[in-house]
Amino acid sequence: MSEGKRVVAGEAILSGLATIERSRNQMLEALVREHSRLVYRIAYAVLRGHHDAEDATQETFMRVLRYSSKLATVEDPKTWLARIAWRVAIDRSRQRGRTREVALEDPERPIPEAVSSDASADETMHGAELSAALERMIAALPEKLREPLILSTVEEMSPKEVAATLSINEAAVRSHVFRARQILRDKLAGRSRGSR
Amino acid sequence: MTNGKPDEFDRTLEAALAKYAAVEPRTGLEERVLANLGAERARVPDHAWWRWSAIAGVSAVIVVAMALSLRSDKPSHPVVANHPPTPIQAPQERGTEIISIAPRSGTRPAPPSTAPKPALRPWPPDVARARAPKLEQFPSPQPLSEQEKLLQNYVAENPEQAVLLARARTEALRQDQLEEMNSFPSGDPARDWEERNHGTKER
Repeated sequence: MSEGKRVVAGEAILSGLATIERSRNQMLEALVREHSRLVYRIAYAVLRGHHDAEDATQETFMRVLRYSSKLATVEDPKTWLARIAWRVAIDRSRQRGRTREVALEDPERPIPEAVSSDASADETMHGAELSAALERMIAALPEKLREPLILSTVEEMSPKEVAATLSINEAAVRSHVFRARQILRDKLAGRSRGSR
Repeated sequence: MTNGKPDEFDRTLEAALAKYAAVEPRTGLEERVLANLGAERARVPDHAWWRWSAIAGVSAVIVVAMALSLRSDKPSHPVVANHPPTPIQAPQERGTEIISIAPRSGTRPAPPSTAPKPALRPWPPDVARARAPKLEQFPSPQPLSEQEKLLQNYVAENPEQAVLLARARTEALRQDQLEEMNSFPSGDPARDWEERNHGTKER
C-alpha cells in the first residue's frame, strides 16, 4: 500500500469517527429535549424536592453522556433513560437518608395542580394536608409496594415501562400497585374516621 | 370499602396520587441540561482527543503492518547468509539464493577466545550425500607427473622391451621380499628387533 493510500485511509477513519461523534451528540440532544421532563418527574417522585430533582436530572444526563457510545445500541431509549434516572434518584435518596423522610419544610414545595384558583382557603388547606398525609403514607409503605406505586404516579410511565424500569414483570407491577392503593385507601378511610 | 363511601375515597386517592408527581420543572430545564452537557464536553475533549489520536495511531500501525506483511510474502532480494565457509554446504533452498560471504582479507581476525566454542555440527548424512559430487572413478584421476609421462612415451615406443624390463623388475622385487622374510623369522620386524636386543643385554 502506498503512503498516499494510507493517508487517505487514515483521513477516512477520522472522518467516520467525527460523523459518529456528531450523530451521538444529536441523539443526546434529542433525548434531552424529549425526555428531560420525564427524568425530572421520576427524580421528583423519589426525592420530593425541586433542587434535588434538578440535580438528579443533570446527573442522569451526565451518565448518559458517559455512556453515549452505547446510545446507538439502545432499543428503548425512554425506558433506558427512566432506569438511569430511577437509579440516580434512589442512590441520592439513600445517600441523604431521605427515603422515608418527608420534606414538609421545602420552600419550593410544588403547588398541586388540581387546586383551582377559585377554591376556598379551607379546601386549599385540606388539599395540602391531604398531600402531606399521602406522602407520609407512601413513605411508610414497604419498598416492594412503594417503588412501583411511585413510578406509576409519573403520568408518562405505563405499567410496562414501570416493569422494565424496575426489572420486574408487568403483572407484578399491577399487583403491587393494586395492593399499595388498597393500603392507602384504608389508611385514608381511617384518617377520615379519626378526624370526625 | 367497609365505610360505605368507597367512591369518595377512591376519587380522593386517585386525585392525590395524580398530583404526587405531577410537577413541572422550572422553565429552561432542557437548556440548563444541554449547557451542562456542553460544558462537560468542552472539559473532556482532552480525553477525547487523546482517545481518537490513539485509535488513529493504532489504525495506522495496523495498516502499515498489513502492508509490510503483504510485501514480505513476495521476497525480491536473495537471502544473504554471513557464515564462514564450511567444508560441506547445505543444499540450496528452492527459490532462494544463499551467498556465503567469507571474512574480508583486510579485516583483523578475531582473537582466539578462551570460551569453548560449540562444535561444528556435521551435516546429516543424507544432506552430505546429496551435496558430494558423484565420481565415476575412485580415486579421482590426477594429471600425470613428468616421470610418468616419460615412462608412458617409452612404453609406447618400445613395448616389448618394456614388458621384459617390467618382468625383470618384478622378479627382482620378489627376491628382495623373500630375503627380507628370511631375515625376520617371526614376520614382524619390530618384534625380531626387540628379541635381538633383549638377548644381547642378557648375555
